[in-house]
Amino acid sequence: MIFNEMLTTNSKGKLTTRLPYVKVNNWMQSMKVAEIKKKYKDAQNLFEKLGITFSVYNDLEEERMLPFDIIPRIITSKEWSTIENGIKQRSLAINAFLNDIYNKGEILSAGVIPKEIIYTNPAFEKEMVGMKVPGKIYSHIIGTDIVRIDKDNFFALEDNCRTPSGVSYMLENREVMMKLFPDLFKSYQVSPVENYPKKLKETLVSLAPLKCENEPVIVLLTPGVKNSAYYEHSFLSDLMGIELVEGNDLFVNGDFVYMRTTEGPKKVDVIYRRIDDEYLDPLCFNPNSKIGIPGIMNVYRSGGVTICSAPGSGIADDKEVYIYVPKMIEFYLGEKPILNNIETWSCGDTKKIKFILENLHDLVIKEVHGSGGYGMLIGPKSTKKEIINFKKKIMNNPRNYIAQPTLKLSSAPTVIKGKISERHVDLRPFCLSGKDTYITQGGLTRVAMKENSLVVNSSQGGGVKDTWVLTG
Amino acid sequence: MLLSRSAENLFWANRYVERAETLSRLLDVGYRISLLPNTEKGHRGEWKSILLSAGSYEGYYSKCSEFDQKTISNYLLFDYENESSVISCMKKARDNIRSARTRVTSDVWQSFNQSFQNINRYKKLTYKSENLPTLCNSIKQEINLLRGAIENTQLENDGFAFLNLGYFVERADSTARLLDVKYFVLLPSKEIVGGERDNTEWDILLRAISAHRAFGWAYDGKQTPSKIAHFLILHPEFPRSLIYSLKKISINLGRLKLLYGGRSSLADVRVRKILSKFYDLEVEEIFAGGLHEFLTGFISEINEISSLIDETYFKGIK
Repeated sequence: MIFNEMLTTNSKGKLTTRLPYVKVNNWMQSMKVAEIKKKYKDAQNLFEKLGITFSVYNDLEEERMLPFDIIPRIITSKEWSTIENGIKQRSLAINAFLNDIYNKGEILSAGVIPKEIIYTNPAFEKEMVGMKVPGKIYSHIIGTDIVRIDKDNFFALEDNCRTPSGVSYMLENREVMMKLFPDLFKSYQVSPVENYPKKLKETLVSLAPLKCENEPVIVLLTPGVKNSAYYEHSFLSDLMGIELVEGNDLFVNGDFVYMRTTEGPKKVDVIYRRIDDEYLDPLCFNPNSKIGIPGIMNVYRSGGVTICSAPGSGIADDKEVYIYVPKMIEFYLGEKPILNNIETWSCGDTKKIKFILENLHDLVIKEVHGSGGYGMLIGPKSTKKEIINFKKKIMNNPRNYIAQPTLKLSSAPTVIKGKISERHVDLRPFCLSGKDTYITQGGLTRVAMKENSLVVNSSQGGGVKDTWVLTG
Repeated sequence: MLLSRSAENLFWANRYVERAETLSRLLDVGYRISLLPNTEKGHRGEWKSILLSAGSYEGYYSKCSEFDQKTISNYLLFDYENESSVISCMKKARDNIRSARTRVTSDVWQSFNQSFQNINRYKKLTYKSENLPTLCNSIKQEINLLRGAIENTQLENDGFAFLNLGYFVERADSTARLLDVKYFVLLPSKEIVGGERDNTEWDILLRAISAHRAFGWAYDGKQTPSKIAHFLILHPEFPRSLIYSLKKISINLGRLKLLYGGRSSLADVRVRKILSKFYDLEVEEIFAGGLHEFLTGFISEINEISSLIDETYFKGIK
């Protein structure tokens, strides 16, 4: 049974609208198809005007817009407090875990997580071993994907710990909704989201490196205009009032990193990087990187600059490590997990593999290091042949895969061709960790635009909705 | 303070815009000439001088074998393989602005983005000879809108100075080149200087620099080579004269000097030196020393200034 965010069956077996959605439902019923279509078009036009695009790699270097749905996703304050506390708890545990495995490794000595899962993992960054990072924080921005299964249960599907994107859509979706539907918006008490850039900047400021004596200079490091999230990079640096730099704008001299400016070199203290670990420093990681800064890791090690997020943070969002997040919470915080994990089995687990291979048609199989909804098998939606082929892949390299039950992602009302249909959704709030831990009261609701599809990733045609977290 | 790369992006964005505008004006002139009664060499000579002015002569011959309006205008307007075509310039301008996105207002970004998208749309229209003037005009309008967005919405800070330096360095260079190409094409056979044909050619030159009407207002109307040369080189009010561009370059370098703590840059010193010479210059002196020599000297001075700007501001070293 799929949980419908808007409609529910009451005790008499009659279909009714859930309380938070009553006003939305009335509003939708009051609009004619032509009106809905017009509003839909208005929204698209606004996005185009604002220039919100993501790049598509083709001859014309086109930039496309993410499909935007005009019906908001409503989350009550009670529901939100579970999500918020749950995500904060996970972020604290994940940072404690990263600090632990790159130093003493107590969780491994205690046998809570098997050593080989960490030490043989390609995402484990040996360069980080023994390093002291400011505030013992490694992953400063975590985007945890939340799925809802029923009225009471939200699950954490994955914790994106490297450089999660999508926050610009959270902000722009809200702008568009406030412009287009002020009355509906006013009729709810919606928590604001626009403080995110300010909070992000505060977080980055609080992470100034050891050797920084004055107000820290912060920059956002982008791979460049060709990156699919370039819009977000320029949007965020604009809102924070910090320089948007590329690797070639920075250089290392002695103990510090500098940017090249029209008035000569200027020292940089905190780098919010949106490039992958591998490309950061050709002297330390991939020697062929042309977008990195040679020598930056040395400066980082000696406390001359802070890199956010820390290299090696990615191990915490490895899909095999994910299995152990509830145990991390118990181990480091001594608490019970507020948000449940999705039940997950490693295909490398010899006790489980038989069960997995026999039940592929019911399960979702993901590559351990994959992302973006690629390289996965959704059993119930696959043909026999696809399942047989995937089975071979798993047997060739079992540790490369994890298995999960097929999730019944909740569905929310979505406009499709002027009519209201049900589409599956998830939710990505953004958690900031610096001196304090902070979550903006909202997030990005992603929608699988294809009927019955469970894949919400924008790279595969997913869309977005504004998310209204109610204040009371 | 600006990132060196951003300063360079802004500078080049506007150099490319200015280049695209010059080119669309040249094409408009080419079209006008093709409507005139044939001269003895046909229209070949004019299209050749337009290709020369656009710096696209060799590129064109290495690619195209035909020599007609359609092929030439396509090459100059829409050919991505031609690095100085209008579309290549507008794309490079847009990409430069996009790289410096946080340094321009959203109005400026939108106008650069839309201009490029619109010109890209014109590319898809089927070619009709009579559409060329409308097309050139639309391109000029796109560019005027984009300049208006800069004037109206940008802070008048260092970024603004680099945007303006881009215009005027390019404009000084392209006016001088155009004049020099015309000089070559027109002056070698002494006997026709001052004759009827010559007048038509000078007339064309004035149109190519959008100076046709303005010239009439500024002088008594009769065209002579020395008046025209004076107008295009030394008239302080005409926005495409060499002296005007120099003044604007000097003003914007002065702005940077103020913003960056009062040190004169080498480029600034150099421009002021040339400008002071220009103030005392008479057009007769230029002719006596040779117009071509004068222009060649000027072009290399402008190149020198451009590299001094580059070294001072775009390398990020003190």
